[in-house]
Amino acid sequence: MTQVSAPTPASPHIRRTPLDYIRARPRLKTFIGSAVPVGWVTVLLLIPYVLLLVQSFWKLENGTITHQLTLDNYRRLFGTALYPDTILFSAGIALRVTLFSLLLAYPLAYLLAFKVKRHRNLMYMAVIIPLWVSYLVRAYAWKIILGQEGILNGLLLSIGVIQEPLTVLLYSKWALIIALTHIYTPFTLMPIFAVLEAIPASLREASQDLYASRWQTFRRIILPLSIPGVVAGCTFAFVLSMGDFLAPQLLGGNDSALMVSNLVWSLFGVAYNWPLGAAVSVVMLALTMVLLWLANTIEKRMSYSGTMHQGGGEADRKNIMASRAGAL
Amino acid sequence: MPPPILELRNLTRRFGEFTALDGVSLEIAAGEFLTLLGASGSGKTTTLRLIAGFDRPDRGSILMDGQDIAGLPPFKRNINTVFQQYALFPHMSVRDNVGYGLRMRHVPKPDIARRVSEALDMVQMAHLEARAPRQLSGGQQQRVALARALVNRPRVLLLDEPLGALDLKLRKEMQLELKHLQALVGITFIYVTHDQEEALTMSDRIVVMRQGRIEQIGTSREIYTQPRSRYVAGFIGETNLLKGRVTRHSGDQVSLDLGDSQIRARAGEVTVSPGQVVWLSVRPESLTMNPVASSAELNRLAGDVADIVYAGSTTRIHLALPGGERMVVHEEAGRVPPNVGARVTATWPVESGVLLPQDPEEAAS
Repeated sequence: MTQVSAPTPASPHIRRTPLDYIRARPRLKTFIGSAVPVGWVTVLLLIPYVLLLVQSFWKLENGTITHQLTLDNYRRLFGTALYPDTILFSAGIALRVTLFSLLLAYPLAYLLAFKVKRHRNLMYMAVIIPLWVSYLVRAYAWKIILGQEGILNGLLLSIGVIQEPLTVLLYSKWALIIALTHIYTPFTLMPIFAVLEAIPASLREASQDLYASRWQTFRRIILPLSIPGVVAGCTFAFVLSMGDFLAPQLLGGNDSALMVSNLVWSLFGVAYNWPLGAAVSVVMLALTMVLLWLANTIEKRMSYSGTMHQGGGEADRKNIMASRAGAL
Repeated sequence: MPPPILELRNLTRRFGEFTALDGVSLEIAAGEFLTLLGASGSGKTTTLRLIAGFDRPDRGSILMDGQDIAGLPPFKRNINTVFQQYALFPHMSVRDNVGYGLRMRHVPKPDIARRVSEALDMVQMAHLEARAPRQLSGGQQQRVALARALVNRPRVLLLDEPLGALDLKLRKEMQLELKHLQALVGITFIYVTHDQEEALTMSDRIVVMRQGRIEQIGTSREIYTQPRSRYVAGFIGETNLLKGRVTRHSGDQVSLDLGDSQIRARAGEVTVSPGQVVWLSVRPESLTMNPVASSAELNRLAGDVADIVYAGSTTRIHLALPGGERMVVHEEAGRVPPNVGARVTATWPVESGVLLPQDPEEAAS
């Protein structure tokens, strides 16, 4: 790549374009090449994060933001029950979404990886395709299913289980949990499937050859080896659903006000308390980073992919991390 | 021969259109070192997987001590396997890997500890028992895999090309070690390989497989010196195959017409009649060039030296026969080889040539 064309004294008449000038200087070339991605990250990620952090230390006086450094926002955040409660409530929702996603995704990933022989890619695509449908459409679909005039009520009425349409289905935290579970299950499934698929068939055969039943083989070989995928999948589901903003808005009803993203939204919007909103965001960001660090640590410790298939392991893990970071 | 520990009866296995195994029957004696030898796709690994229980036959039965085990899952068979890529559990230490089978069978803990230590001693891996598999070299992983299987004291041990991933020097060492180990523990070994040299070195008996069928069964010596088909003669060791027509057949003596020369051979177990087309297999080491003393029991063929390949202990001389065929002669080190282009006479004792019938498909065409 770095063709250093030394100026040849024999041909002094060759015209030099600016491009030739750059080509002759590998370090300058490297600088220019990396300027775009570095600039991109700086302008679109680093600067906003720094601004957010700075903003969270500013003061709100009589409805105007003054550029005066203070810890008031954080004092208020941790001193008022509302804020920690909201974070805890969101975490509770996210935890349930994570649990349900895992319960759905693991058996499905297991079936896809080990039991489905033909049409495996097709079935995998069937799980992934919903991700191509707009998020809004999927959230709205649940409105149609769970609404008072919705499909579920219609079904229950027609088979005579209920006499009156249920109103509790929609606009509750359970509607929210169902929709979020639906939306984030593919994210949980993908890393689990990737890890299960990478387990060589010979390991399962070796286990059975050594007198382990199918269940023992799952318990002692498959499950431990799939933990990195489970951790990755759960991190996806938890982080994404905890920070989710639209589904609570559309489906959560009164409970939605208790989700942290919606709180931040109202602090930046209706309440016009940007500094406090920024403080809540910073706390959330910190929590998320701790969680990602924790997940990464567990994955690293439990990852044996290096021996299962040469080389790919570390790269796979990095890809998972990168895509997760992107999802934030 | 003692009663068979394992008996395969008419095993057939198809994968879609492909017949991997076509009516294989075989008796395996207790304590023997049996090798299934064949090219890829010959059915040797399929046979092994059926015995291990990883796969079920479409037809036929597998009798162990007279009981049909073909339908049993692998964990209910008293058979263990050493896998081609070792298949050590990456999340367990060497020690835990070796103890896995005993734990699954609920052997008391003190017994497990003792037996695992013994097994690791046996393969000289005791000093690395705390390591994870990925911290071991290929040869070390191989030993652990062996210990993990042998510690269970199976009736039969299956080995699926266990040395395939090792380099040549280590492979030769391990061949001898495996053979000694087998004699020591007295367990029946069924060994799968495509390496004919490995098969000859280690086996009590060799089963040569081809296209899902057994081509020939015999000791290493029998397989090498008395191949029963052109395929076996060519697959095991190097050989020269000469095609000829039977001109005369009296007693054990057969005369062959090669087109431009006449040779003699022993009929052996092949029934021939005049006019029939047959093959004669002559090993390169049976051939000598320009012998000083002449004997009536020698066959002679004239040819031109086409190539001389020096290979250390022997020199391989390629001859071009007048009919266009090629012949390889092994000359021992120390003899002065002829020059390329020289006309020489290759000779071999009549009894060292092995007469082989044409393959059925070849005869039909």
